[in-house]
Amino acid sequence: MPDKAPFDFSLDTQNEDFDPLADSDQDETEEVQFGEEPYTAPAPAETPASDQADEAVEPEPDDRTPQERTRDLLESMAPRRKTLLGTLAFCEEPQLVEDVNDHIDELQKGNASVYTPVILCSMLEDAGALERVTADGNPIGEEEVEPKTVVVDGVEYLEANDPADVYWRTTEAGHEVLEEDRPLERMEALLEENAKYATIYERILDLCNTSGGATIKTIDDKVDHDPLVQNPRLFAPHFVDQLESCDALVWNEEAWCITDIGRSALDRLADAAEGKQEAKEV
Amino acid sequence: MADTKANASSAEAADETTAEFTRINNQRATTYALLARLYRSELDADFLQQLRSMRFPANAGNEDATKGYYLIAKYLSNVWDKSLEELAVDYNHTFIGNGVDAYSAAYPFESVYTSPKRLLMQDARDEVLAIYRSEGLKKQESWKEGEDHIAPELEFEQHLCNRVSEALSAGDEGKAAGYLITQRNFLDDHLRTWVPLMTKDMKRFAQTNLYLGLAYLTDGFLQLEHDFLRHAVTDEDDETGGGQ
Repeated sequence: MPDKAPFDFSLDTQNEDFDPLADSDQDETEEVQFGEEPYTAPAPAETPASDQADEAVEPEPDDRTPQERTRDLLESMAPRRKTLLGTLAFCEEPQLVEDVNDHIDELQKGNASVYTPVILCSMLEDAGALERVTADGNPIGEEEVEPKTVVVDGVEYLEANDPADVYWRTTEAGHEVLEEDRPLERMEALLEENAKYATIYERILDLCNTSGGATIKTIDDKVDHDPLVQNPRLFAPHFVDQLESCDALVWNEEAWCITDIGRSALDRLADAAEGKQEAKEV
Repeated sequence: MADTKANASSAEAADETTAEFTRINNQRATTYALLARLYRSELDADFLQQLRSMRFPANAGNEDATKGYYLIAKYLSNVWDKSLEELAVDYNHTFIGNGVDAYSAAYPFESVYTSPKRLLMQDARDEVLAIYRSEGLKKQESWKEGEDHIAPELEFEQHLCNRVSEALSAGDEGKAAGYLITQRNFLDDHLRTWVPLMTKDMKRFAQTNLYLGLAYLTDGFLQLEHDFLRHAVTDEDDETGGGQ
């Protein structure tokens, strides 16, 4: 370690722009008026102890199970639901933190968020859906890296060691919640509940079922003038949101594109329309 | 001839002693600077990187200081993507807290620990301000906290260390002794009266080894400083005020 001077704590002055005790002109200092009583520091034993602090800082206990906390997280972070679930799916096998961050960036491509990959993973970790493990699959806290001991001129020093690689792994609870996610069922429920708008959904899915997808303007033009959406007045983004929440559509930075779920829904809608036509003919 | 040789050898020994004293003094200054920086604000990426490139004594000559260095080095050996955020959260949790009862954190102000109602800007602040001014120092405008925050108090000691070194290089031992007396008085009258109470609270609130280690290191270092200054300042210095 020739590049390190022993016991050298010198700080980079470039980053130390604050120096509250910089030399000042003696003449500029003002006289300080003290009170009548001279200041005497109380003895430490007489100073009130801060034992009351325990009560003040104890957070409310969270009785929810990790599964419940994860479900609540997905609900409160609905716009990031797909990203969160995609993260859990990716981490079914332990993945390096850097790889997970890249994967989340990919998942959020075209759908920028103020939540960084690190924050999203922390949220999942706090909920109990993700855990940090070592390369051997052991929880990180159990295997902390010890500092290195080096000897310089006969004197022992401690140096920061290279940190262990950190992996994210989906927990049992995270896996369970991931398994509960059935977008096709959500899609079917949506179509059932809003059967009167079946033609609208079909039209949007059809428009997006091309190589480049469909722009917002294209969808607006084909939906907003339809008599079905005049009363109550609904607009194309309402239907697009519903389809996106069922993972039937995905935004690719320029246009909405259909997914496999969307194609299945399109097939189902086509079958239903065919059945209806046949029934009419009979 | 023999006298000349003896005088030369005695002068060399004195030079070596002064050089050794200056070296120790510079180490004291850098440790004060390190502690002050750690207390002043949260870590940023550059400072974290700097800390990771430092060496810490494996045996600092004091159990608390050794433990402090070990805990800090251990934290630095386990950093990961979220460490900066984790440390920022811990800094706020340890020194700012989320309560309004004055017992929710280790408030880094002398006034809090030396006033009956644990309030800011009390007599302690006036007293340290007067001491800074008596040494011709004043705070920079950018510092928005009180002068009795632990960071400026530690920086004051750092500044005096630098003055001791400057006086020694100028061959003015009397002046150096005067600064050492000021250091000792400030340490005993201020830092050591309240900082142990704050570090006790830090050990309750800190959640990372870095801030836990900082608490131990502060305790140990202030004790080492007390021992050092007790030996460095002689009775004769006390009587003459360091010859100033």
